[in-house]
Amino acid sequence: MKPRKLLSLFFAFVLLLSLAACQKENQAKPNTEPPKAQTDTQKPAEQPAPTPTPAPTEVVEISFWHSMDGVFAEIVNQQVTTFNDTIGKEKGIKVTPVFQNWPGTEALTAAMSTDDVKNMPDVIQLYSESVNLIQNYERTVWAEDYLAKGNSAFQKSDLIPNAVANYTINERMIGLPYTLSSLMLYYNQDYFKQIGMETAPKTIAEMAEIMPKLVEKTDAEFGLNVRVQLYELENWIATQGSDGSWFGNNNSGRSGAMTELAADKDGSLEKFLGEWQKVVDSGVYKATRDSINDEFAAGMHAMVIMSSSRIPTIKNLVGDAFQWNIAPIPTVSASDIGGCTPSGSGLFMLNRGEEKQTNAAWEFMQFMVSPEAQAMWLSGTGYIPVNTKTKELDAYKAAVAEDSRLQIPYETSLKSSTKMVQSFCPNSGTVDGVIKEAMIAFGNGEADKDKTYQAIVEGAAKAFEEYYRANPLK
Amino acid sequence: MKSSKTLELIIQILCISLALLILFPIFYAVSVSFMEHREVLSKTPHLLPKNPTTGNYVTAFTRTTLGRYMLNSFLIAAVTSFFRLLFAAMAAYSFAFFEFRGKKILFALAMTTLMIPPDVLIVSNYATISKLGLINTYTGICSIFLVSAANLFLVRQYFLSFASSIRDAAQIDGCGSFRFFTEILLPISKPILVTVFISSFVNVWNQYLWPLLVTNRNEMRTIQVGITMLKDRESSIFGPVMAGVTIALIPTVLVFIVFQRKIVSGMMSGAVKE
Repeated sequence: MKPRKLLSLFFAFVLLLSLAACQKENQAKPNTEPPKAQTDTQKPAEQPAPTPTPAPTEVVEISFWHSMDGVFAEIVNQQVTTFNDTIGKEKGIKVTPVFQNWPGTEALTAAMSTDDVKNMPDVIQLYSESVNLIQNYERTVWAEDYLAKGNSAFQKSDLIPNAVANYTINERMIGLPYTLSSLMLYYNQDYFKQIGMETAPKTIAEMAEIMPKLVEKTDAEFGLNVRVQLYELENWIATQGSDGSWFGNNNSGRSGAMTELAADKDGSLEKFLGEWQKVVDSGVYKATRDSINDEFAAGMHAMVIMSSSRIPTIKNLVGDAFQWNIAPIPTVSASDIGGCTPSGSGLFMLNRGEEKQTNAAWEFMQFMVSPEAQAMWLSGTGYIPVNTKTKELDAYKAAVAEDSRLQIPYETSLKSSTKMVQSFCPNSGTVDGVIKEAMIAFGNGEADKDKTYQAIVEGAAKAFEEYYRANPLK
Repeated sequence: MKSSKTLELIIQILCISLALLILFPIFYAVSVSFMEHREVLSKTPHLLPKNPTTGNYVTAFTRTTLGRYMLNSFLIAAVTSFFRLLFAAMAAYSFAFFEFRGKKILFALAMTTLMIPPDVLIVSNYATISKLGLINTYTGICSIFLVSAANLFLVRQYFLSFASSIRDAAQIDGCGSFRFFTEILLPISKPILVTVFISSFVNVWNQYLWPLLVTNRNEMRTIQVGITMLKDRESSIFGPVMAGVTIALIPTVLVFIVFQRKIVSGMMSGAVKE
């Protein structure tokens, strides 16, 4: 066959495939439109006439940008559909979810820099490290302004305290916590039993002490696998002391711009590195991260430290191969308060010029933090519901009854101090890289404690300097 | 004679080995797309699926509107490639066959655009497209890809390989510039035109950031953006992603297979100025 004919056939095939797939999608996709009213002829005669609901005269359409992929995106779509079919239908609001690849800031930055109001979202999901981007942006609508009106569907006290603190700047909430997870210690209970341990270690020193035994007496190749980066380091800094410690100055960016580290001034960084030296000295610590989920599931590591959002993944991977559990991360000192910083994302509103749109956006935001919407995270994700009232729902009780491990990050977050927040670290990508590089070198024995300390402090200072040279403080 | 045959055999074996080495990731991606999740992560790696499943393809099509994304990518790649070809051929014609003031400077200016990283211009391009009201439109996505200096260079080099006497002879016979371009030059330049079209098609098909920026409606998204929706940040579920990648590969691979000979011919012809 001639190339031209082949190409024509191929193009025809692609078009057919596309059309077929589009049609299939229309059939398979859950209906996000409010159901159309039945005509008189379609209405069954025996049914009583439904109470007429006054239909909103105008539908306000708002756009919601999120960066959830895979199963998480399915839940987001489910939440949006539920809103559109219930509150949205009642109040005349239609939300359109739009996927933006993680961290979800590329298109926002482009729209912000050109003040392209028409192509901005009304509500956007952002992670803590991106809050700097919108903190001083004139179109940001602070959640506190709506909460202050006093007629919200929830109270601040309904939400997990340090999740609220995470999005609070100068006592005002900039956004609402939406997805929440925490850093957890995952441990192989079968291996622990083999060395006569029943519970997880409470401190780093205890953890370092059992690591060689775990490798010696079980099939584990490594006692612990964790790659310490900004997120992990912040957790070990924040959980120090009797009420937590700040990672950065100005309360880690909550009472002013974070311009330098605080962890090097109060000695918490040095203290952590001193304890971490014991982990390094155990000789059975893996400082890099490859396929941490799969390696833990294969029994390669006795312990791993990672986000609670991976509970379902580990559950699927391990199956019945061995018993495992999770626990709060070991503290630096036995006297430390412990707990976790809230990881995850928040929802933020932007003013696109019309009040009715921001009002509609607030209605949507309130729904997304409601117990019902938050309970949806329990099916297939390890996210912690941000609304404490979720605990009263049957969905939560059923999920916890099926897997009691889901309760551990929830309880840990609930008890965590409001000082335990993720810092609004400028140039967070660079700082993250600095910490990662320094901690891997430390973990591999290529750098000692002092050199690691110096690399982190100097690297972070340089990153801050570069950031504020390009973005001077006003 | 015997030694030349042995040498040929060694070269053939080397070529096949190299081809297999390059093709291995693609074969493995296709293989993984038919594997169940546990099999992908099994301790002893499996090169081929033990129990082939189409589940990953079902996930790819049900989790996203992959068909629509493919249609969008196809339209964008086809339209931009056509215009790139048209503009490259017209510009190359003038640079290769006409003498005019500033010709060298204009050509040098066109070539300097090759040295500007596209990412540097992305915000200013976005501002322009946004002000023109072209966000969420095919025109908006295509606009910045319509002209390529690399294509212009390739076609110009090819045109330069023609003896100017061909054009002179055509002119003596009463053939005008436009007629010479459309009826003589373009038909005999098929190899390079096909090369430009295919390379442009593949290049635009694989674009990710620009289509992501200028679209915020699901129905306008492209295949490369769609594939990112299939991944799962919290786990290592590679199956649906590999299924998406395999589907995205089909058009480009087919186009390469169909036009392979012409591409090679085009590359060789444009490489040397006689």
